[in-house]
Amino acid sequence: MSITYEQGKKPHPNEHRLIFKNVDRRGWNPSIKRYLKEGGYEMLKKALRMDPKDVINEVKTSGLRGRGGAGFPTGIKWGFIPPDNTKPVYLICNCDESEPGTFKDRYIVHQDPHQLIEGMIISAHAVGAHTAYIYIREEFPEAAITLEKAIQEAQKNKFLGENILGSGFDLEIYVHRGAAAYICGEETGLIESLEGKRPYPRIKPPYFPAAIGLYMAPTIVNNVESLCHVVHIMRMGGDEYVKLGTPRNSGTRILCVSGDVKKPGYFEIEVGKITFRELLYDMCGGPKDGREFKAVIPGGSSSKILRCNETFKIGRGDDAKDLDFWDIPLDFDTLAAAGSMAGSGGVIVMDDSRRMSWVLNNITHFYAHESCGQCTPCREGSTWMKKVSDRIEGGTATPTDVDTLEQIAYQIDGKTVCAFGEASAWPVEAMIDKFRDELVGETSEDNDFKSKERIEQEKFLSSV
Amino acid sequence: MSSNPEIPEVPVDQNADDSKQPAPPAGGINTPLPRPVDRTAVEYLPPALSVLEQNIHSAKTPGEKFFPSFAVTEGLEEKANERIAQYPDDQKRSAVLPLLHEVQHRFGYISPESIDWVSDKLDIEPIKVVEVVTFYPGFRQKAPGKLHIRVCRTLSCAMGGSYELMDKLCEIARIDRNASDPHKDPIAVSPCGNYSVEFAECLASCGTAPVCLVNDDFHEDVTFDKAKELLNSYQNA
Ligand SMILES: Cc1cc2nc3c(=O)[nH]c(=O)nc-3n(C[C@H](O)[C@H](O)[C@H](O)COP(=O)(O)O)c2cc1C
Ligand code: SF4
Ligand code: FES
Repeated sequence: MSITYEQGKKPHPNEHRLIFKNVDRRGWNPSIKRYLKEGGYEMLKKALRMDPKDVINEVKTSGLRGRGGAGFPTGIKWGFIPPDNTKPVYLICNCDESEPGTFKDRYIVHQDPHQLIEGMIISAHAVGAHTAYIYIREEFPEAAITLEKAIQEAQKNKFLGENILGSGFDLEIYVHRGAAAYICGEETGLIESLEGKRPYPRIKPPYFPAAIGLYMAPTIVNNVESLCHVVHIMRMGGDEYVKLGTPRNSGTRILCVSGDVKKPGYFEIEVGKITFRELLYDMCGGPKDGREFKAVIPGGSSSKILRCNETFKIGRGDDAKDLDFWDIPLDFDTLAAAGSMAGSGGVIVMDDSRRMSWVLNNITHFYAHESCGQCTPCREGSTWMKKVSDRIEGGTATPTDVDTLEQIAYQIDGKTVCAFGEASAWPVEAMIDKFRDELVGETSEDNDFKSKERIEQEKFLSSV
Repeated sequence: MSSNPEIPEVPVDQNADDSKQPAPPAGGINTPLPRPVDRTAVEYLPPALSVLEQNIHSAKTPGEKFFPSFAVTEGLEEKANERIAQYPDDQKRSAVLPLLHEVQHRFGYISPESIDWVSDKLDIEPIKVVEVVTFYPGFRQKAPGKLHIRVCRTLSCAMGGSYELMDKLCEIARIDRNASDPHKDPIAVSPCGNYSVEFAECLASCGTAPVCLVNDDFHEDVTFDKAKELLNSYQNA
């Protein structure tokens, strides 16, 4: 049966749709009836007949790397649950999707909730969890209802509850709504939030909640997209799945393109098989009329910005080669080698009409608003970065303000409780690194302001 | 303090005219704490609420008329118990967010009374509810308008014109966003109480920027010239 899509929503020929197969599909709806008609929950039956260890091994073989941002291998993470554990194990689906530029989980939970639920049941079986939570951001009110309805449907069909399909495996899934705080996407912040507290991220180690997580018990946190991939790994087998994409970067992933392109949108591609040129020119229709591409943020606003006219040295020693920005394949490793990261797959594009000081200012406002305030470098630093970038954007800064801003950023990253510190500092560091001249060009020596106190101070500081 | 003129006066001087004092509400976090009398403060500073009182205070807004005042109904109890049952028996505190959502959904905002109710329901100190309410931008402590509009202000939407959309919405609804400090009080309500606006951070639909939420409805591609149309579509709601 051939699949047709809604008008104007047809996938681009470069796409390879697994996860998004049913998104924007004609005649599709989020009901279990529709999902079952398509062979839904067959992979659950298959997985329940397997030993949990074998399921984990399939996922390990598949090479699946987490799609939430860090790109950590999922199968390996699952293996971190202490073997001598006697506490209950929890599975949490991270549906906080709040990294600016990212909009993929949205379509899964609104249009294809059963794919996620099937993936969660298989994953829970693999890691031995009998309670699972979907932590969904508050700004998806409709999806929270859709998911709760889907869970009820799955219960009625004996895919959830006690003794699932006679296998002896029990599982309940609950939906837990957040309350509009970005930091709840960080997995330990999420866990604190789920425990009913302020979402202050926990001190590491332990580096993974798989050791100590929700209610101090082993907990696996995975992104929505990652959990959906598990269904396809079951269907294809790890050995087949790993052939998709490129070595060490297997499978498909969804790229979300927004900003200054003719046709923004979401594209599910084989990891590493598409370059920036193909993505932005072929799939997104190129720049808007009369414009040229200037800069791209490749993996959500926390990743480092890249200039479109840059050339990168990739590889070491004899293997080193020059790679033009446009030829960068969109995988985890090459983007890391180019000094940025694949992150959450949110590609934000800026053309030559954009002032970088304005872009920077928008980003610093985001991080100043969203810092949880728990540790000093991040709480104070994010606010200072906002204030200094306010001055640069507003044309009231001095050239040294750009240096000050850079110094603040470097005093945040690596010195904080959670990776939000890097997330807020990296964009600033990269922006100054790549566009220093443009930023300095908007400042003026004339803006130097001497307060009364400073004049008094200088009396004592001046050389005798 | 000066940024929030709506905070009512609270007597500081024990000898002041008793008839002006609001009756202290019974029990829980609403009971004003006894404070030492500071005569210099009475003379030179405006009377103020304690920090704790400020944190639970609900300012009056023109939107109030659209929401019932907090009351524990059977429906609320039932829903709350259902939510509490989602968590292990010894982890009731996990239900703080779900319970607060139930309250805000029914009554528009989190009032001091509802904080007491949630803390009673979960057997935790009221301060543990307050710390959650005051942290999360998703909870508000005063009534919004009948239509609460959250416009995404993050990068892709800003490039798509979401600040212009916000300006247009404010113009139509006669809202002055500069009247209060957006950090302390991000929600601005129109004088008629029909509308309120607030900036939101990335709503995860950057490809269809600019986007906004009107109550629980999501709208995409709302360029500023569609602002009027957007509000009109709710005319009969
Ligand atoms: C500041 C911050 C925000 C994050 N936000 C999200 C998010 O919105 N969604 C998400 O899935 N992961 C987010 N993460 C990553 C999670 O901490 C975690 O690594 C991820 O959920 C693991 O899932 P995965 O292995 O399937 O990728 C965030 C991390 C940080 C440091
Ligand atoms: S780095 Fe920032 S967000 Fe993370 S714990 Fe510290 S203050 Fe909170
Ligand atoms: S920037 Fe507005 S939805 Fe992401």
